[in-house]
Amino acid sequence: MKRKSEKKSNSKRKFYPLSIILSFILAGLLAIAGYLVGASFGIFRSNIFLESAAKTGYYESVHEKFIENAMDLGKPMMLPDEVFEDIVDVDKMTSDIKQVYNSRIDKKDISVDTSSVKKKLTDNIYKYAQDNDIAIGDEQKSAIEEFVTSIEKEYKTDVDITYINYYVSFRNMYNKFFIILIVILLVLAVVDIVITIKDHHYVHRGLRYVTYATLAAAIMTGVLPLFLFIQGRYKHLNIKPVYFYNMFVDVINKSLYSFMAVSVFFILVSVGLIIATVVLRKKAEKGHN
Amino acid sequence: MHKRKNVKRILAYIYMPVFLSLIGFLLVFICLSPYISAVYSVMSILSGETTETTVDVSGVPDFKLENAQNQEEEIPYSSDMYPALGELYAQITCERLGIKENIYFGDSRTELRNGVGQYAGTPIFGFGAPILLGGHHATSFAPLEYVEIGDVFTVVTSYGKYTYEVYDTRIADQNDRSAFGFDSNEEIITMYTCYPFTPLTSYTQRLYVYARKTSGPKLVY
Repeated sequence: MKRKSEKKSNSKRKFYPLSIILSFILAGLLAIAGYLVGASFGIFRSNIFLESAAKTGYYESVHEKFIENAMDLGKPMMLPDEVFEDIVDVDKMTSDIKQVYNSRIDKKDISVDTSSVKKKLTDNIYKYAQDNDIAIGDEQKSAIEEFVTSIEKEYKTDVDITYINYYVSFRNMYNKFFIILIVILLVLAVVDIVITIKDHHYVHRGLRYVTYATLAAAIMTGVLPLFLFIQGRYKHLNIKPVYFYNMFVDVINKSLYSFMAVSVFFILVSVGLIIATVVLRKKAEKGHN
Repeated sequence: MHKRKNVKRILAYIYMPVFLSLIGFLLVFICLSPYISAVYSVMSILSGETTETTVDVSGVPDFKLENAQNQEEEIPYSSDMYPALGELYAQITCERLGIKENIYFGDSRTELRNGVGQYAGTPIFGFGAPILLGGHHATSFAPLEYVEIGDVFTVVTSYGKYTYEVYDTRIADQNDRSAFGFDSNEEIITMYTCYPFTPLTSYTQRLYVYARKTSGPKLVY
């Protein structure tokens, strides 16, 4: 049991090394939690790629590329470009891209219905042959079937977003540990805050060190993403095709915004803590008087 | 006194978080510096301008046979003669067959869509080595169906005009690498295209047309 004189001297103590250390630890815990939450709302959000795809015209570009590739593949078959122009529309392709993406995210079997594409292409080829008096024998039928199958394969490749498999495996790994880590970090943070406040005679003094930690967490979660956003190094990666690059850059931008939003959240919490500190200090001063 | 205390408190809200975050950044930098430099190295390798692999046909040079410079026997090679991948750098013509096509360096779908593509593993014209040119049998190389021994092909580049005379043709499987003409020790052009020239059939064969150089400057180092 402390004597009154000792308690008084504690209240006049200017330097609190334990509080500084605890404040640093709390800042670290909050920063890590901030990055985890930011990643969860940013890069690892389930439909971030689809949102960026819609915003950057990804679907239209993939459709255009597919038709162009089909025309190129048709040249050795001596098929004119008109045969390929209407074999699939943008809406169908968009729907298939979304379906494949969601299947990968949900770890379901992927099945793309290419029957309409195959039928339309086959009909167009036979119509072209009929209009140009080209005889269709067994050899031609076999060649047409083989060709339509190759276009079908091309379509299935194009509706699959490049490298999405790697992203999904990272995301699944992240989601496994996210909740556990957040709970551990928050528990440790609460323990840290309690000890910090207990280290001081007055609550408002302990709260100041907590505020230092939240402001430091705001700096740590905000400065680095802001720096990367302004520097823009990720915008200079040579990624092809161009439509995938545009979508990729948009995804990175959104992810950086989410980290900066977490930083803003910490700033708002700090403002609240500063107000609480002022109120409590004034109460303590009134009580003294 | 009160004022000084308040100023100290306000300043503490600035320097304490900055101090704590600097310690944090320093710790992270020390622990992760090998990984940070590795990431930066990879990003440097992957950096560059992202552009679509396109062939610019808007400003197609007007290759005129009579304007071709350097009809001397030997001309010094300079690195700016060597085209970039996808670059339009020559034109091939054959009066008798009615061929007049641009030659692009590279033979991907993009180059073949617009004209004749040169296999980038073969050197440019004038180095005295075999050159492989590909084109679609429905478009740029369609007239090769009627090629004959003795037909003359003219290739015009920015540095010289070359002529080649057809001496052989051959039908071979698409995977038969011996048909490419790489074993020749003189400058020949091997022009190849899908065979047969009938629509809607399977094209597992290629028509190879071989033409040896009859005139044009030699590039020397």
